[in-house]
Amino acid sequence: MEGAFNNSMPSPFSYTFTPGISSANVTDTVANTWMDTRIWSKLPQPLIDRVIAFLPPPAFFRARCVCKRWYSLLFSSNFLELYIQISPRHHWFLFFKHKSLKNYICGNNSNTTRGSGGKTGFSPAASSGGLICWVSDEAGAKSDDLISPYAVKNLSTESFHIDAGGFYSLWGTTSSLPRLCSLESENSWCKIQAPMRRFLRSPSLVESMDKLILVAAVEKSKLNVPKSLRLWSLQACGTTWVEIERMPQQLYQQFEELEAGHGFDCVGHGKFIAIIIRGSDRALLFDIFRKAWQWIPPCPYMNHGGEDVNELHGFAYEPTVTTPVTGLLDQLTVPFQSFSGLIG
Amino acid sequence: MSSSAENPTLTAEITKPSTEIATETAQSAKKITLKTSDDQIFEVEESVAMEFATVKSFFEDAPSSTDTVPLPNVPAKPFSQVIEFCKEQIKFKANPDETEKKRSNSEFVKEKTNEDLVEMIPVANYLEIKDLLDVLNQAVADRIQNRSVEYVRSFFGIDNDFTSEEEALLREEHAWAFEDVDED
Repeated sequence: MEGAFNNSMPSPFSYTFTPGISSANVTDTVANTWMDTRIWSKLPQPLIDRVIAFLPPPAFFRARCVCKRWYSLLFSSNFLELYIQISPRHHWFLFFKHKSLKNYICGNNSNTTRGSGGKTGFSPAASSGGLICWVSDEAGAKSDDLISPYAVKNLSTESFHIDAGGFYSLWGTTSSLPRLCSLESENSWCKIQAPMRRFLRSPSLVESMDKLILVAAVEKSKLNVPKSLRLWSLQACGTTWVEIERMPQQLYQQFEELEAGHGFDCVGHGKFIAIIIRGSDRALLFDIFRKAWQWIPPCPYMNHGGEDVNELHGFAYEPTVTTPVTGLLDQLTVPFQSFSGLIG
Repeated sequence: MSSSAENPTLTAEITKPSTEIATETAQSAKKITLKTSDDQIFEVEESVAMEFATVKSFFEDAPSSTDTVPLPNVPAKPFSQVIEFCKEQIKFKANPDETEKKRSNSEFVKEKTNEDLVEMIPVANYLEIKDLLDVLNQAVADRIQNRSVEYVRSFFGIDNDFTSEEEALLREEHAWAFEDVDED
């Protein structure tokens, strides 16, 4: 794995095509009048590997039970390098109950949820490139290294946002309004004025497809427009916000009723933004491309109507079979163990 | 593009027609003659043929060649489907629209049988059409991703070389991955 971690990670376009493969045997099969699924066995192994690299992680792990060769792919550095180059990105969200081990993962394509265990005494704090950063539940100043494929940042704050692109922003949980947002660019910091800032409630900044997006409820009794939840996108100039979406009025009424002034948190991932109502287990998913809103189905792993409040926290999660830093982690003295286990 | 930039004459020959074809279809474009492994002759517009990295490098080595290009590893049936795909792709080069491109790609593979896919994969690999290879790999992955281990084995014609004890242990280790599997 060591070879896979360096800054000159091959671009996705430098993929070497499997040389010297003749499709002549495929033609033979075509000539046959009968056809069964065994046609696939005519496909050369390197091309089958390429199909396996496109499987989402659960299917990949199930595929390991197919045969010994498939089982060993996870330990083949050639396969893992191929995987890093071509495997599609999976924009999932990871939700967890604070101070509990009941986490669940939401896959956006199928809207399926999976339960998974956690570590005792630790809570998940951030996720990047398939890795999850766990923070000790013990009191005291927290300083944790989050290692992502793109950046190693020392994080020492209670509230932060980080994405796989290495962009991150920090602000405290107590500040209700990120009136002054700071962007890291070429070591210079600039002040950004939030739009409608005097009327914003529960604002959050999220990253989505290399754009910074501000999500906030807009409320003011004398305002001529009805209360709503709006999204603004920061333009390339870095100073102008443009409104990109307003939650449909009917949905906002539903949302406001559940939210009841508690506020909400937002997480962005790919084209999705998850809006999680504080003090509840309800969350909305917004698809930026399709401009579609939907409620995330309730987690089957949590008991509803119980006495304790099932408050959900969540962040973007990109499940992957390997990340380029796995080799680096192996060299660290910290006794990190099976990282593939993080998927499960 | 980067390699053709080293040769100014070639750059003009390649880039000019391809942009014109995309916008003005009225103009007759240069055709390239390709011969498949089963001796079928295909006349393909130059812009389409340049989507095949293998063919493109053939012309980079011999820019003025008017010969028929032999494709010894490419049978006619999958090749005609590959041409169909590349024609669509070229439209998106002139007018990039990721959402529409995705829709068009999934439309392309939707109607294809497993045989179509398995025949096109080596062709896309031989002709070095990365976009197509990715689309085909994704299509196959989509077809098997919710299927049982037994289904995947028979799909690829793979013999199970685990002992039943080994397999049971593995299934237990990855138990979480066995939720939500479709019926065979």
